[in-house]
Amino acid sequence: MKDRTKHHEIVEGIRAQIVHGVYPPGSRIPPRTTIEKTFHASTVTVQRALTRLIEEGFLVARGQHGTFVPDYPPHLHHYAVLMPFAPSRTWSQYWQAIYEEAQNFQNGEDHRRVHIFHGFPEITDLTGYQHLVELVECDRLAGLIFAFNPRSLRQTPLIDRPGLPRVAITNSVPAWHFPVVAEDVRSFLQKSFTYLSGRGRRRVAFLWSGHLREWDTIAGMLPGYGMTTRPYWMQAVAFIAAPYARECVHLLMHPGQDERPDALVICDDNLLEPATNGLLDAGVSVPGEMDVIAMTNFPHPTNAMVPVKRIGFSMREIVRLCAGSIDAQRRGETPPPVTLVPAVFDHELDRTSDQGTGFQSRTPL
Amino acid sequence: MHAGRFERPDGLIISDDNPVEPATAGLVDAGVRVPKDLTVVAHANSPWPTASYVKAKRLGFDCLRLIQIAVDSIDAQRCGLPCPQFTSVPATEAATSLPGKESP
Repeated sequence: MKDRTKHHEIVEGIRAQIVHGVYPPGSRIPPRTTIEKTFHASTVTVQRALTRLIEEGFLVARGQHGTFVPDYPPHLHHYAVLMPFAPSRTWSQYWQAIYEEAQNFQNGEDHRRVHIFHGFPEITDLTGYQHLVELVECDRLAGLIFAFNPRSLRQTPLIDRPGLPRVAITNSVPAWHFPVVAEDVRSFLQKSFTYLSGRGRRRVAFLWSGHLREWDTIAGMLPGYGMTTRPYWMQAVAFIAAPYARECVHLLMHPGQDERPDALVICDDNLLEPATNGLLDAGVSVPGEMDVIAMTNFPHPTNAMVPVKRIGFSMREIVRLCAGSIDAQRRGETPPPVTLVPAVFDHELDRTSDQGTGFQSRTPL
Repeated sequence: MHAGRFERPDGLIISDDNPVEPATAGLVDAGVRVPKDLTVVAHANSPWPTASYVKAKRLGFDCLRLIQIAVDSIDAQRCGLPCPQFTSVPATEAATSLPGKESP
């Protein structure tokens, strides 16, 4: 029992010194004999403690040269991304895009690693949750990236443990004082309206997947672009019922009306394929009679059945900004409380050299 | 139901009581005369009231009856009596005119 306590004392003591920079990356820790004296521990106990720290990634043994802190220790280079649910065929395109970009992030050459955890915020994956808490409590993470609003995780170590950098991807500000990375929806609307007015469009319809929180914003912005909308041109279809976007858009654009929209802004990529199928059903000529804007989670492609203009947000940039916020917090800096990610056209994304593979449209027509 | 269409439905079945209130508000917005231009049938979990902005025929399922059947099934199983694997409860007309915003 005494050895076990001593073992933990050594592990936690050396780990804390590494985490707090007493032993920075690449430095050598004291020889084992010194550790034995410092902690009044046996050779066997010290060896067990060092083995544990090597397994955790905080140390690396280099034979006769000694034991070193690696160049890329976990508390500076390992990030946890917390996702709701788990990947599935019915998963939202948004979650899929973040999931893929989080995976891509660790495939870079800067030695950063991403651990992805699912089942939040309800904690449906208890094993995964316990593993995550262990990583948090052993300081084996640079920080946590919540891909949702973590409001319901209060009173868990994920929120309560002090000193752990955190950032959330959400358009609603959490109740705690850690930074948020959010999509700048207003910039999406501005780009959409500028493009549509430039195309001579005047009557704009919208298709959303949730609550129309931006209704007042839209109603206030449109006249400035010489355009208008109608309350019944603002339609919503929940993404889990996405196939019904086809009928919804067919109804919206059905021939035989004395006034129809000449522009459609599809604000959720889950709805894009069925909605554009609805345009075909209604016999709408695109772009002859109508222009279509498709919000896109770049570089994650979604199918469209008619030509569309893609405007959206770089999921790669969002993940990168989150990691940057965590790095800044680690350095003791104060990152901005809210970082808005501006909307971009697909062609603007392609010009950005660091977007890797870039966005590839799958528009079949 | 927007005016300006050359063909509009003359019957509407709202098969979920959650959207009854906003859907019937939409009928009012569209200037639809109910029941002259349109007959509306609205789902109702009776006796639970749902508000409607227009006169609607309320059809649905008696929640008290559903609970009674479930309790009877448990009692039958406890007594070792056979009970049906599946019991279908027929739709009934809501017994009362529901309170709320319903207009004559």
